[in-house]
Amino acid sequence: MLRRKTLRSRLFWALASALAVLVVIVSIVWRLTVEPALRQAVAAHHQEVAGRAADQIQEFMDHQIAELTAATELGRLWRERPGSQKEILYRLLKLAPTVQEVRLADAGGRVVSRLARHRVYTGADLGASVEADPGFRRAVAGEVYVGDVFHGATAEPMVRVGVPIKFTATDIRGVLLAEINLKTLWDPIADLTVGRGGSAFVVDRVGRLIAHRDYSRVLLGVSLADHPAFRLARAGARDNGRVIEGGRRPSDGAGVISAFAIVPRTGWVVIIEEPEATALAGVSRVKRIATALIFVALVGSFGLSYWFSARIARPIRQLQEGAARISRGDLRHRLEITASHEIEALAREFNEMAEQLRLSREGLERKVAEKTRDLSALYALVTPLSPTGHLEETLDAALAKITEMTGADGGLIRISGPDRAEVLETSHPPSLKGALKEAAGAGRAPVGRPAAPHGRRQERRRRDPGQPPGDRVRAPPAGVLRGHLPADRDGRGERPPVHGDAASA
Amino acid sequence: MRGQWAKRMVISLGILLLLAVPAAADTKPYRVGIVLPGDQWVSGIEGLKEGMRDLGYVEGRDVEYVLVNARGDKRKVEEATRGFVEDRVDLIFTITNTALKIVAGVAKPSGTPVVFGSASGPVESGVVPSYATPGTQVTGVTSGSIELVPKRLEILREVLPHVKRVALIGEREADSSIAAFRLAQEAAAKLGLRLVEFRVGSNDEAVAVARRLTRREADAVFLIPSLHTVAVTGEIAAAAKAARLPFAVYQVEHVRQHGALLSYGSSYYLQGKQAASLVDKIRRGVPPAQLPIERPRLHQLILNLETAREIGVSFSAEVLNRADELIGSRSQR
Repeated sequence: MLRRKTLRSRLFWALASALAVLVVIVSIVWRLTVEPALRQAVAAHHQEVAGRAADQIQEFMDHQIAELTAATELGRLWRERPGSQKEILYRLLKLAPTVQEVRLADAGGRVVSRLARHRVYTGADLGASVEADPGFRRAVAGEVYVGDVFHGATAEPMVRVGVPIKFTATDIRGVLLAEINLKTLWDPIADLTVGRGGSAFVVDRVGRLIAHRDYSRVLLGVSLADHPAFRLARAGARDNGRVIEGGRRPSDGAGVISAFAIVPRTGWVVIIEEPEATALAGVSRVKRIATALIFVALVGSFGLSYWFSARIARPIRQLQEGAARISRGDLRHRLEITASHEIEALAREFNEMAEQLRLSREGLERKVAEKTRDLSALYALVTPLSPTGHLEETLDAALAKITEMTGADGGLIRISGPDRAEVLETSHPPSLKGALKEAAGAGRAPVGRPAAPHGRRQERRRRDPGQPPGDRVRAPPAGVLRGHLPADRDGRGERPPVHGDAASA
Repeated sequence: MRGQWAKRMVISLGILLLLAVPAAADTKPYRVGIVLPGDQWVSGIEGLKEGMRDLGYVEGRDVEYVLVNARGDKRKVEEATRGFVEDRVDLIFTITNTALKIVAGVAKPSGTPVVFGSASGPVESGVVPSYATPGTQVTGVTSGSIELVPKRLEILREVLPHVKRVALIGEREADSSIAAFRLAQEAAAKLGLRLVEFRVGSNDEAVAVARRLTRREADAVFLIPSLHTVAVTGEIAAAAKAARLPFAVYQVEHVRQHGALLSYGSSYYLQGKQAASLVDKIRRGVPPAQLPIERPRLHQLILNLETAREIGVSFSAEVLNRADELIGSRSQR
């Protein structure tokens, strides 16, 4: 996990937030522009279907009216004898299967002929007045009348139509009133393809179903007056073809996209309705893909942020760790950073700095080592060598160490008093005491071992500090050693200074 | 770990099995018990099967028909219905108002849906309260034969103007026949016809009545829809033809198959086909009480010119123009 407040975490969250905001903006743009456009496209298609259906119904009604008008013109019904009138009405019933019943009324509104497919009318049924019938009144005035839809005993939807019987444009001799069964509309409406799960239906001017794929609903006299599309159609009067989005189907509350179109002649409303689930199936598919892409983009943006922050923070972290290691003394540590930017240059500088530090430290250490050796020799020389504290034993031990340190074959220490009287004399090894004394007295090196200059011997020792004692080296010339003896063990008090000569060979 | 894996596998298989069981149940064919009143109505069954095929049902896979032919016997109609109820068929299909009344009564306690392919007057005979809202487990397609009795009498009179006396042969006890007789009486009064009623109690009685008829008693024979009369339509048609009496019926098949002179109505085949959509809706879960009773989409006037020639009658040009179908027209014209 990313720890908070590290450079990497800050980088990561900054980048991730920026990308997430970008993704959110894209989503909002999709939601506000693309998706409504797709929904509108679906609704526009429904509107087109509704418009076509309305045109078909208009044509159907025009055809019915044309059939009735043609019947009025066939032999000028009114002039014909009653028998012929009936034959013409029979012919009309045969040619127009939707016409269930026809009445022929004179200009005064008296029924002179009547014929039906299912009912029997005889002369006793004639003579009734239809003067008060709105269909008659409109038709006798020269207009074509289309009445309200009504449902007969068998619940099938019917409409009453009245056409004038005209001899001339102004000479109206009667009216033909017909009842038209609208069952014929069921099949074309049922056959309308509305997406994958949609349906089309037709309602009359008060919202009662006229045609529906499930014609049982028509026979049941279902009213859709509360349907939002119908209400909008009524409110918009003749404003044809509005699209309703986000509506709810009254029957089950399902979300639907609806469109409607009004049949001009009748005022009936064709409503196309499709559940959003199927209407927007394509949109939903695109939305799912978009959601998946957005999710991938989000994950990708987080991953990218993680990688990029790691890429930036890693060399810095390496720098930090390198500095920590160097601070712990690991001057040989080097950074391997190939970032091709400022961090890489910084790493190079860092490595250079570390190298300089290392060289400096090694030089210092070397010097310290040399000094330490010298000091160690000195220290060894002055360290109390005899646990008893006797001067002779101490000198013996010192002489032995000097001999050992210098690689000489032996050495002699002679201490004289103020009168040059010999106070103490000791040699190492004791067996060479005579030879050493002789050499000290003569001021020359022992026979067979020529004396080497001091500087050369030092040089040789520096070159080969690990050379074991006993090697054949030239003895240094006899000299005088002056100084103080080291402090005693507990560090208190000093021994009295002594004067003497030290000779070594 | 291995134990957990096995446990998960067992649970997954269990879930799959649970899911598979309803799926298997859904694939079981929908069983339709058919109570066929007699051979006369076979075309209604053919129409039903054709309609179901049009709706995508495959016989044997999606739907299974179990048919019992009662051959005009009301007792067999009742037994067949009882058998279907005990056998728990999904739906019972029948034809004719008489059979429908029996089937609906027997099936009522079980709630088994009943669909009829053709019934002359289910409302008029009291089987269902109304066409629009049946409100029972019964729905179907009515032939409208009872309602059309007056119209048929009118057509008979118009087609054969010389007809003044009409012999009606119907059933004595069937509700549909009783209603039809009543409507015929009302129409006859308006049309100026005199009715000679023959109310029979069996097939044989109907045939015997028909064979006794001569032109002295009646100018035409008119069939009142009922089980016993329709079952012997062929015999009555033959008797009428022998007596040179015009025989008016109410279904297309009666003219085409048995040589009746004319009919005005629909066909058992088309009504059966139309009823298939109701079977389909019930199969999809719609309660029959919510399915209004339907009427035939088409009523046709059919004239049999061959029979007309045999019995020595002719039709006017106006009548021939009115007819929707003329049988044997080539020889006539």
